[in-house]
Amino acid sequence: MGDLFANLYFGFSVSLAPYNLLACFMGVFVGTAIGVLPGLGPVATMSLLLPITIKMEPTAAIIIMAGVFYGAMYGGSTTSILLNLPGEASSVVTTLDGYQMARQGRAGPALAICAWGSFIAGTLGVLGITLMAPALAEMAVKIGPPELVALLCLSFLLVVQFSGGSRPRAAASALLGFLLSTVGLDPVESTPRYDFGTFTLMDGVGFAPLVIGLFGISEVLINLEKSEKMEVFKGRIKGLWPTRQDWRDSAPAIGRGSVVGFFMGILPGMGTIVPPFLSYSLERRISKKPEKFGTGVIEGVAGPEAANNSATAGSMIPLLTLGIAPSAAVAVLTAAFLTHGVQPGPLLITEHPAIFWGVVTSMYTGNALLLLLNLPLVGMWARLLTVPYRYLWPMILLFCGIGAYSVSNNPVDVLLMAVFGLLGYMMRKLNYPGAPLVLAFVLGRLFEEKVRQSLVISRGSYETFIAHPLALLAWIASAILLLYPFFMRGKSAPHFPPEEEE
Amino acid sequence: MPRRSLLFLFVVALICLPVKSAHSAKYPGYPVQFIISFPPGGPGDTTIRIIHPALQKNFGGAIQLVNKPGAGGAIAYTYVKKAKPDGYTILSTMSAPLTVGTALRTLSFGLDDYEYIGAYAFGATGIVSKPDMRWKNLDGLLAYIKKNPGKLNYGTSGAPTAPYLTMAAILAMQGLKATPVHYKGSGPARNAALGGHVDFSAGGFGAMQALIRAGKLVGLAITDNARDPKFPKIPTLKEKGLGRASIGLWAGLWAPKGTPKAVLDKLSAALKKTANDPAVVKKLNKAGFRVEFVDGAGAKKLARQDHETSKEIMKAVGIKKK
Repeated sequence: MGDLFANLYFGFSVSLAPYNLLACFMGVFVGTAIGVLPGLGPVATMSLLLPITIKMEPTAAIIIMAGVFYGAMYGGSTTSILLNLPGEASSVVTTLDGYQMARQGRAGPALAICAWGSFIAGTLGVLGITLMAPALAEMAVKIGPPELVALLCLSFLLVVQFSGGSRPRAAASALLGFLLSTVGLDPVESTPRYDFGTFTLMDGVGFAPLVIGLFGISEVLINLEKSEKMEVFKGRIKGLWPTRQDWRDSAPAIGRGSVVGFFMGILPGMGTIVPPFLSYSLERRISKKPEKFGTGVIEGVAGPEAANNSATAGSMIPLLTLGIAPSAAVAVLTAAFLTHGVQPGPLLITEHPAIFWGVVTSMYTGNALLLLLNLPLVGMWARLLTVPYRYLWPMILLFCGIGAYSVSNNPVDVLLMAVFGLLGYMMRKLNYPGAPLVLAFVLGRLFEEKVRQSLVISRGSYETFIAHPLALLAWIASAILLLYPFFMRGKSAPHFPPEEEE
Repeated sequence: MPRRSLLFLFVVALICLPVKSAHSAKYPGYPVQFIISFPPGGPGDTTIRIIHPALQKNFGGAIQLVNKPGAGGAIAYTYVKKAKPDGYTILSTMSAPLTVGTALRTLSFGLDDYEYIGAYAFGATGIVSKPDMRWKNLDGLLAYIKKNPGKLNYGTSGAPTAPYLTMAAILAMQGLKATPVHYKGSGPARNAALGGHVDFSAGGFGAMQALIRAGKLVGLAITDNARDPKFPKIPTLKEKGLGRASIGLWAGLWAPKGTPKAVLDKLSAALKKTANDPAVVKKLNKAGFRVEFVDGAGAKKLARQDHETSKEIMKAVGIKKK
């Protein structure tokens, strides 16, 4: 333990040096900014920053890049809440209750609780890295394809329950997501599927065009068909800061979200997208008023926002201790290490202690800086809603287009975005929720890959899926989840939130 | 009236401006775009980003790096093939889509659609397993597979990749059987071996080095021409008499067919100077690459050779072109 404090002291002596502190501030500032802009995600930004940081000290360069990564999680919620347009893929869930809060004039508290929740979760996550990084990384590697299949199933079941409206509609939406995830080269034999002979679809449908179209474009379309004087909400902004009751409601949600996000972030493929979904369904499951979810309850904002932040910390663990990148954003971070001639991996901590501890401690500082940066912005963002919609929507469309294009610099992605915008519009008109589609799309690819890998390894024997204790545990939990409503029938069967009135 | 003609002149000037600079004798008149066929963080992305500052200086002009990932590199290769051969669109990537990819699939580009500027960074396929397996080296592994035909699983960096072809070729040459499990890239394949989900893995050597140095994985063999000075204990396939299974994995620069020779020479000279810069060499080595400058003609020969080897292996293993 004494060692740990010595290491932390050493780390802070590196990360608080003026140059590195400035790097940290730059990183989180850029992160917040691109988090706010829909589509322009941390992956694209970090890769744009790579050539700029190449001339800097390695420690400062990596501090900056990491700052962009977790800073984006702070900003991502802003447009989710204000415009029903997720700034980052990880903020899709935040739209459900965050946007409803904004329509009730409570954008201020929603934004503020996001900043606080992110801060608390981010700090807890870094604490997690500091205390148990090596042990956790070893464990994550032990989780093989069959266990992941079971865990994916469990995650999916957990999440399917939350979406508003009817269950068959949620299931239909999820099914469509699964189908979309099969477009492109199959994950094992690399046989092209449903690509119509085009190169663009060979890699499958892009995630950015899908999410931006489904949420951003469709929201604009829906709003435009309403009256000319449309605003996100009418009336006065009711208070900028969370009330005491808000805090009482959100604090436990933030705690649970932090834990869920941190551990999910370590797993390969989960990234920062799945944890917020899980946190949301968890909050709804244990809430005393599950029927209120989707109408603007603050726990539904606080939990997921905490989860996506601690997930960034979780996903840094495999990188720092094994040199493994569990998500695209972390892969760019790996490149940042490599371009500076530093190899992330088990020897990082002994070979480059200044970098390891400097980066880890900079994340404490960075989270504090983000809180200071974001809280004053709350008032400004909340006032943005008073701008007439006729000025807002062309800007939203522009940023959507930039976002869809910038991920792989491919103009066809902008077209795809438009197509998904229409699909999203139709789905909303017919009251089909979009979130299950997105989640199924993300999980679908991973699910197929892992099922097929498991079966190749086991020579086609399905026993492999229950042969591992962790997998078995996940299956049992899934079964309980499936049967739970039948046992609870008559008592307090969970109600679904009322369908959103148009 | 004078105002209007002034405006007219201004507009004419505006229209002429970019055209004029494009045709000006000096190259580069404006930034040159390097198209990278990998997403940020991929092997072909890391190599060019490492040399970018030095290359820019030696080239004497601005170079923009643009990632156009997708379809195993086909999007970027096709984009550059169709680009204007004026020296402002250059392909910067790994050789595999051109050499291995065109052998495995019918694609809209081929070896002869480009001008070769040069190669600078060479990677290898590495074969690794955990240290506590029943074999300690490649011979031991092959002997074990012989005694247990069809029992072992090995991870690969993907079905259409050179490491898979190499491993399949080794097994075919020895008349052995083991089951490939395809992962998405060298990192996940390596992790599968590390976690004990497969018995051994074949993937890009660069991705394996940190874990080999830490003693968590053992390097059984690499495909390069000579041993890696950082890992003198890992033998090459060539030494083992399995050299025919080696497919080169190298980073280089290409230009659209018909690009003026002066442009190619200028870029080639800048690349040569950069590849001889000790600071650049050191960084590329750390990232897992061997550095050697090979000129355009040499690179073209290498590509042809890798392409033929891939086709031979496919024939021997029984993989059909899709």
